[in-house]
Amino acid sequence: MSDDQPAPPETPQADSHADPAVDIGETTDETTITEEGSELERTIGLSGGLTIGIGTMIGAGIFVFPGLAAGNAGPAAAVSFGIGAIVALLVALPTAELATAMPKSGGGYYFISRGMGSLFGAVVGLSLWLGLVFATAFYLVGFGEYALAVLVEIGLPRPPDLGPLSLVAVLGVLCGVALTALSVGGTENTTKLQNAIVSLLLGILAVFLTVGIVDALGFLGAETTPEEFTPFGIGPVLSTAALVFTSYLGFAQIATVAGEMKEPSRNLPLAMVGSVIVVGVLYVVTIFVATSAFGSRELGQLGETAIVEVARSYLGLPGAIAILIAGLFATVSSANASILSASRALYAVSRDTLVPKEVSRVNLRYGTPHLALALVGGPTVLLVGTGQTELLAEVASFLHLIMYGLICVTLIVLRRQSPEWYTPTFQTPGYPVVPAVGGAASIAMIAFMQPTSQVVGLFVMIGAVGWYFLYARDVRLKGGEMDE
Amino acid sequence: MPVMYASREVRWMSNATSVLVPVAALQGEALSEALVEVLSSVEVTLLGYHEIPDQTATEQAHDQFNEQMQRKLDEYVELFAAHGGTVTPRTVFTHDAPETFKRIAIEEDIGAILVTNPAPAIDRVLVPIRGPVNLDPILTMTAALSVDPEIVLFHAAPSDETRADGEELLSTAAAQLEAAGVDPDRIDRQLAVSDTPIRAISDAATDTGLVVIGEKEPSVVDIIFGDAADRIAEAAASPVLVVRTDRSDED
Repeated sequence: MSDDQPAPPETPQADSHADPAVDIGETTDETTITEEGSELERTIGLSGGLTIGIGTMIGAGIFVFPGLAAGNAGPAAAVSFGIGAIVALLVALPTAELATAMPKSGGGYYFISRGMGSLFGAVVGLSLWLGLVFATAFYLVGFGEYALAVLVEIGLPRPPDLGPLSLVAVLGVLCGVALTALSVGGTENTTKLQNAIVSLLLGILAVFLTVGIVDALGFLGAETTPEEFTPFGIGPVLSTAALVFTSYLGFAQIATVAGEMKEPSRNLPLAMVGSVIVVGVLYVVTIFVATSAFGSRELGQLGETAIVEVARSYLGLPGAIAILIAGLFATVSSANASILSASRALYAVSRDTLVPKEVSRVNLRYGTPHLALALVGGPTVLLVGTGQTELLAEVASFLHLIMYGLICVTLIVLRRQSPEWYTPTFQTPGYPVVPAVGGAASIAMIAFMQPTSQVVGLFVMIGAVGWYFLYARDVRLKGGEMDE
Repeated sequence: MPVMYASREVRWMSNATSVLVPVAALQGEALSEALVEVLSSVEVTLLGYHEIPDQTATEQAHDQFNEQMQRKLDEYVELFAAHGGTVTPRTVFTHDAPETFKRIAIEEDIGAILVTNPAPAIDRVLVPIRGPVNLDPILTMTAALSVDPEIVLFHAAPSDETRADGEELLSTAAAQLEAAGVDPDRIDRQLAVSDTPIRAISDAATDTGLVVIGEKEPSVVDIIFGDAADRIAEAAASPVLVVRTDRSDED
């Protein structure tokens, strides 16, 4: 743990400030050159990074949350999304600085374990993995809602639920199993496919939102009694901000592939900050358009697929169909991106032997980490079975927010101690206010969640601490030598 | 002890006869002895590469397979050394092998990239020539190859009217090779009339040990069906040395 005394490298305290430069190898714009002299090609450019960020986030914020958020907070749900964007930005800046100093797989886990030692590392690493599992499950429930809405739209009679499982959950589980199987099988060009999907989504949204804005502004003039901005008071605006924060988890996923980003010192900060700004603006506009079309109570009743009805009201049947299709793609791409990030997170902890090394073993034939992907897909599918959109979303946010808080603390710790290896090429503007406020805001978000989510999140964290003391207590993080 | 990697720091001088030889060592891709022998007179950058899907971090594959990769690569290096060749080994883990080849070719100012294919023996080298534009680099590379295979200069004329132009092109090329010190007895000329030049080249390449061809043939067909060199390599089942012809306007 962080000991304020700078310790000579031989003493055990050196653990908490192991020099990751040795571990990372030399970073160039296009490769990482490892200690053994091999090169690791960096293949993700700025657009690839933005795609990971936007592709992960957009599914939740636009295609799942608008109805729920407006139902909770009224038109002021736009403010909830705005608060989320500001908190995300305050954390994205410190994350970007740390990522340029340590451009390596594992994202938040890596920074925190190298800045604050292995206990914090283990807690963050394991909760990042499970946080992404919860997030994936949440996206898949969203997918189930859209798949069901498609079935209803093409006129099939609504089939009965299967026993305790709702139909939505069954569809989500099927999609989860298929995605996991695809990633294990070593699908090629997932990145290219993801790029194409995100471009398509942005295209559909641009048309829909433009028409919506033009129409909504006309309505506002005509309407005699516009709905009150905060019909349910200020409290729900804040609790909704906590709920919808899941829509901003994607920027940290960019950090999990930091080891594969080209020109990391330029592209990492741009991709992280850029994707938060793009989706933040889209979310706020979407809520504005949605609440202009329907009253917030009505939107709340429409639930996860409310945005389809909004599109129908502006653009008729073609609009509804376009948004249905977009919703299917968006939720799948979010789930897919999260599965891949979660497997990277597991790799990072197993590499440091905080969990058994076998977990991240790569299969030579398929080239994929079978076990890690199964450890993401398996629990995800179980969670999808619960079908609890809001709970899954909040637990995912809880686990991420703990990491965000610690990222901000890590930044302050590293800046104060400024170890020799810490040479970020991107500097957080407004230090120390930005990381301090970002860290405090992250923790404050948790306070506004439902008690059930807080309890589940806390249990996961206690579990991670327990795992550390049972299994990984004497792990020394790599600094000098590569220990097997 | 692994081989030395010091030379990465040293950027070679513009070297029109250096060759990048990528081998997917972990997939058991083999380099035939005949090929190693032909390449023993030129500077070779031996690139052991492993392409992994996006699901896997490059570091992850490196952690697990790097040792195995280095061992394999050392075997190839020894093979080159046994034939008196000079080799700079490099290893790369990548999500995108073609991008990696391109980067390294630019970094080291490589003259030609080898597309590997089995080559039991190389006693004929096919050199398809499309026009006068890329002639210099292609012939310089061809003349630099060691041992004495027969060199077949090949041109596919689109129609009978253009036969004469083709003949002239081939004799210019032959003269240039001779000037570069190639024994005229080893030089053969072949002219085919065909409106599908790629197929004509592939057909001519079937009983050839090695094809030397210029990259980026500027034709619409290439844009639609992929790089001509790749298609020939696929059809001919022999190794293809793709000569980089536009080394000046690199990005």
